[in-house]
Amino acid sequence: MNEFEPVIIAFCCNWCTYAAADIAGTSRIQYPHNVNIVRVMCSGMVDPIYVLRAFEGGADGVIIAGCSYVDCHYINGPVKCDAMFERLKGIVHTLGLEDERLRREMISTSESIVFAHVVEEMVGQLKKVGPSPFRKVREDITV
Amino acid sequence: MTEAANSPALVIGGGIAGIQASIDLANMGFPVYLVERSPSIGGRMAQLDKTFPTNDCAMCILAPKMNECYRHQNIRVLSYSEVAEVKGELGNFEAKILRKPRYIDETKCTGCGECAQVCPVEVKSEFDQGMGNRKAIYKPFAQAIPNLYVIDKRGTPPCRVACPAGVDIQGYVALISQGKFKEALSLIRQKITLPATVGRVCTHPCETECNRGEVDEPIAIAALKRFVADYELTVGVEEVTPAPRTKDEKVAVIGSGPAGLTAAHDLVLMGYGVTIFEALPVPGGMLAIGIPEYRLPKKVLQTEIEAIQKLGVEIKLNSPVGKNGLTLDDLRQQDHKAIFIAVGAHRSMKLDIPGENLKGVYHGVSFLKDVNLGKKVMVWEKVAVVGGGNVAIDAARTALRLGSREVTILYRRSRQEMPASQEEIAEAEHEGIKIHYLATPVTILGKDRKVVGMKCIRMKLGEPDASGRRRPIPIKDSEFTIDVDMVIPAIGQAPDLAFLPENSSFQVSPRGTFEVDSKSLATAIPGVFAGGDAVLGPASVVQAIATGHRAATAIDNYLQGETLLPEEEPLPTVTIEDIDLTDAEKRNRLVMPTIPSKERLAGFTEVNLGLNQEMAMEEAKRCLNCGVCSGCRECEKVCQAKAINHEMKEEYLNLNVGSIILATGLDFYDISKLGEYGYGRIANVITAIEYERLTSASGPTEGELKRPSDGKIPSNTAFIQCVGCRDFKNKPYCSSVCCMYATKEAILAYEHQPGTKSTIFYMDLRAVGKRFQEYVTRAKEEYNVTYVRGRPGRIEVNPENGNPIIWYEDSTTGETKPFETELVILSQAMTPSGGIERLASILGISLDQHGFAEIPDKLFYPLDTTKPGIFACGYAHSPRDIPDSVVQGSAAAARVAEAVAFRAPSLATGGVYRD
Amino acid sequence: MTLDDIIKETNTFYCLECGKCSSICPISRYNPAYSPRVMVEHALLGLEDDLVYNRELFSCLTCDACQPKCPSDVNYPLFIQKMRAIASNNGEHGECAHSGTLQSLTRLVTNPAIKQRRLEWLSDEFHTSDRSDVLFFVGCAPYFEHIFDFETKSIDIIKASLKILNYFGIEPVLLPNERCCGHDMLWTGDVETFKRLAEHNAALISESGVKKIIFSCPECYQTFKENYPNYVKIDCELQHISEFLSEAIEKNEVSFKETKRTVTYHDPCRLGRHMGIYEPPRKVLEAVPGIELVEMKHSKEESLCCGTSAFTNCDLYSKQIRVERLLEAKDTGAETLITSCPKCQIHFRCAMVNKGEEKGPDVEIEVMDMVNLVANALEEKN
Repeated sequence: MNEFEPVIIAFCCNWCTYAAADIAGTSRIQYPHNVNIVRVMCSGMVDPIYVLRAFEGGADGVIIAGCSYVDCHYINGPVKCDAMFERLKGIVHTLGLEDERLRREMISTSESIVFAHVVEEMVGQLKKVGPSPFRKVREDITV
Repeated sequence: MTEAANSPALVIGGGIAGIQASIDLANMGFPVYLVERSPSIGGRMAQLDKTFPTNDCAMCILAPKMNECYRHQNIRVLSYSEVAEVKGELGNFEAKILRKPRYIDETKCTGCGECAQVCPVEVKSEFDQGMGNRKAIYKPFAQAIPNLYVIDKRGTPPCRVACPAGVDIQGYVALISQGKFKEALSLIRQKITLPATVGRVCTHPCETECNRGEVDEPIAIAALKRFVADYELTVGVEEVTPAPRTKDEKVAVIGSGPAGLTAAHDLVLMGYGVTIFEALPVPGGMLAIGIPEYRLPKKVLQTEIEAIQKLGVEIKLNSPVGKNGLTLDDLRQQDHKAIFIAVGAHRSMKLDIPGENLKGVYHGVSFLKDVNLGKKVMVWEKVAVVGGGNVAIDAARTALRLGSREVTILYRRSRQEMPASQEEIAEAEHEGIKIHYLATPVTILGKDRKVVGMKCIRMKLGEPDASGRRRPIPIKDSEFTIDVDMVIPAIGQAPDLAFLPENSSFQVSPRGTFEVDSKSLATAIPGVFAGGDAVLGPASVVQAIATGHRAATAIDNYLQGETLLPEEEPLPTVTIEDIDLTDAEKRNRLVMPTIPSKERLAGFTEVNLGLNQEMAMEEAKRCLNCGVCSGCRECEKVCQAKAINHEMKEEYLNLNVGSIILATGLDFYDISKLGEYGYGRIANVITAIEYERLTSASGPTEGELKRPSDGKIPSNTAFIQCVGCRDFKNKPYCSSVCCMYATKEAILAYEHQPGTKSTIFYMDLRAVGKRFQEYVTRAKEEYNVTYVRGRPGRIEVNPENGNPIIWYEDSTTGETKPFETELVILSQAMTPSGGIERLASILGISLDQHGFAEIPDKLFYPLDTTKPGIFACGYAHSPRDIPDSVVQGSAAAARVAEAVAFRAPSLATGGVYRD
Repeated sequence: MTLDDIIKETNTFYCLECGKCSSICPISRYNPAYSPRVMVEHALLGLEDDLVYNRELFSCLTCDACQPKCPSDVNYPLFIQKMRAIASNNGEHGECAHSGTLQSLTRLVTNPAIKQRRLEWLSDEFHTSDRSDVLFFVGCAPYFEHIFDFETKSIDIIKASLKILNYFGIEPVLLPNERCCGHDMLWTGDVETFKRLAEHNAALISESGVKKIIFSCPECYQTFKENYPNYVKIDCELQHISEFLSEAIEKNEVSFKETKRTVTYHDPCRLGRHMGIYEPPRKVLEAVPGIELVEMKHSKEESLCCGTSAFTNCDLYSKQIRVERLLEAKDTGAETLITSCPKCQIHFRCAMVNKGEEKGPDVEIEVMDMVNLVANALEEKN
């Protein structure tokens, strides 16, 4: 049976969330396989283009996850990310995408369970919402 | 007028090609006509400084040719002429030539130039391409052939057209601008006998029409007239000698207002005996008793009237005609062979409302008369003046000066329709007089038989009435009352005709004025003429003066038994479109100085103080010289050869010729629309021909290459080639001569100032003639000329020093760079001569799409146009330089000889073939 | 299209290599590597690769300063457009500004299944209808608000335009799922995306049944008028809002409040040189009592470009061009710089934000679209 399996791209900051995901793996915490993690040095370096290209490529959902305000190795990464995310939300909303498709999280290294939970929740939501309208928009795009 | 024909050729165009063709034909023994539309032959070559590649002085090699051409027995040069019409065919063309009037007799003028010295009008010189000036009477350049002057009359300036008396306004303004005040006054006096008076009170319709008004503000013509008249008083008036009495007849003039005084003045100068009968105790009519002292001091008027009396005019005061033994019949009995009635319009119109007879109602005309005659006149505190003309304003301002506290004017229409002059209305408001528009009185309220108030009604404007002004309509139930002690009606006047005998045969209009013949001002009674306000109704001083002149001429004709000559057709009026306004900067009109405000109402001191010399000359310089020649006639006064004739007319000459040679030369393409070059916007960007005039020793800077913005001699110049040509959007062809002449001009820059660096931005370097390439090489090696390939697209200016900055692309590196230089010279595209389309249609030949003559067979008959018998040579044929134009000129002569002169006229298709 | 086809179509063959284009070109003045003449020379020499893989191919602003002055009438902007199509097919897209966000967005909306939320800024203040004969084309303004980190005021232009249309009793149709007109895609060589966008828009418009489309953006206007007909059929009258207003003013259908202000007007390249519309915006400005219009040193046909086109190759030279234009505007002494293009306004505002430069020249001046000034000056008719 071909059930719809959403594809999620998660931009995870190297120091906090990526480590959390790593630990989730080594701790054998189960979470859905739908997520594809892209490691970034800091959530502050995430540019809207990454997210848009993800959607262009047919992603059903995108997570941007990083440190909390006090943890950031680069001091104010999350602040920059917040500002960017406000604008990004606007773009994505205007494009007509459902709110469930874009998510911002602050997950620290020790919160691997949170990471798993977020992924699970999102997969569940996306299964209800359905595939992104941008799937198969361009055959020639490789993400 | 037809001249003897049998000339094989009419050459159109007196440039180098036309001159060469004419000389060649003449040397073959054939008579030739050469028609040139400018005043001198020589064409464009005369404008050049030097010619390439020899760097000969252009005029030095051209002038002998010009002379040879002009003096050749077989060549008849028709300069300042144009071809108006051509009919016929090869062998038998009928050409009608328009000889434009030079206004100078060709047989008498010696070219001495005394006339130009005194001419007050300066305009831009066409020969100097606008870089210098010439006078209205001028010779285009020193070596002009024929060596004759010419007067440039563009038309009648609008000021003169507007002036009822036809004063030569441009003339006297031009003379004032040159400081020639005496001459200006003398010119004014030809038409205005009372200049100091008229300069103060005239309604100046001339200023309304003045073309300067379209640039900034009209010239202060009336103020300038006043200035020269007053000036004479300061330097001393010349003694007036009585006019000689050369005729027996006596003329009676009734009324010593402006019309009467003018007629009397003219008639006494014609030699008649003249007596003016004036009813009042003072002469001058409304000038004396209507216009208040603060506008026209009595002393000024008196002096001017005395001058007329000194000529021999007798003025009998206190002598009303119509009673006491002085009727019109009596005048005739006394041997006055002609009578001029100029009684004016002194009867004030009644308001025709209740209360008009109350004490305190004082009609404006009477009020002003009594004040002006020096009687003690009482005014009350609150005065209402009814009316909108100058009489109303004069009465109001006079009442203020006599002590009224509150003066109001009521006018039934709005300010726009008010007939009083704008200055008077402004002065009245300035002095505190209130004007109620759209109001009219209904009843004057009285108590104890004295005015205590006035009930008025508001008006609104409806449809225009017969006078063209909108009819005022009372608004129902809008009455209001004003509190006044004195009412001065001034709603209009009519002539007082009570002096006429009963059952006289005079025809009187419904308005109460004399009906007269419009040209001669003759009434129904032979020998009796009428003019001034008596005929016009209340009009202006200058209109009255105009009728005075007209009447004097008519009376003179009547007395000598001659018929009145028809009036001359004036030249067409000059409009603003006819005038080149490129250098007309906005400047303010002078402001007439006045006495300080608080002194005004203290008495009757003249309010306007008048101009001083500097102000007058500055103001006069603003004049645009619309008609160019102003008709001031100063030139006539100094021409010892008596060659000047301002009445010359154009003439036509009919020629019968066998062929026509078109040699009309070139003109310059208007590149000011190519905004990227900044021509017209940046001072130091000039065209190549303008440069030629600067380097010419006979040019406007006497050969010093002074750049326009500051006169500096540039040590660095840049030439831009192909401006407007080799360009699909402008002229796609190549003008042929620019590569060489730019090289020449760059060499000249070095010769004028050794070390000067010149850069020529070119597309291709077309140096195809004999020794042309060597010339270019010399320029590079010896004259510091650098050639840069590329067309600049943008010229900016360095605001600190006025240096143009050229943006160009360095084709070796592909970099776009700025290049600062001190003077930019644009080699602008050249086109066939202006007017070629019209000439082509007159000749019946075709032109190509650029205006060059269409040549059907370019290989074997390269000069033949589309009409057999008409040959084109020089630039009219196609772009080419001087030697090539000369070659074509000779070729055209050969062609004419072959096709026309040596054989019976038949289509030029070939010779006699051997079998 | 081959290189030869392009040379034929754009008159490039007549080029005399005079270099006049380079000396007028605003980019050439600042960027030593860019020369229109050299580009054309390479084309004529058949050096296709030197053009296709040249970064500078995408530097041209296509502002059209060159063509009116070219003596050989070479259509240089079209030449660049077509060359870029070849480049795009070879994987060259120029340097996309803002990391390519704009370009990505434009590609995203070619998707047929999306249901955009473009009109959430609409309030009761503005009246639109489903059954009007007139459509107002909104363009990318709803996205601009969210892309840049400074205020672009693009939605203000839309709101002002609606206010103006409502004033004349027009309640236009607004398409909720309108696509980007595709101007930038066409001019950077992505013809495929452009075609899809055109097809979407044509279908939506045909469905709406409107007969007239009014634009506030000159790029959308030009693209619909000049480029769409080659790909789709739009059976409507097309008008820029300045033309619409200018007509209304001539018919005396509008009255304005007194608005005392000195302004200067920047001719957008697309409205001015490309479409020849110079007078209508000026007529509109001069019709408002109290407005004094002072022209910049380079105006109308000689106008300078705002410095960036199609959000591509926006570099330090673009900034220099912008600064020159803003300094010209300030030189006039005007209080406000008026333009008629949302993109020009974005670029001017960007220069004023002055990122990264501590001691740049002072280029602060109030910038406003013509419709903003007009909307504020409208006076209720009796």
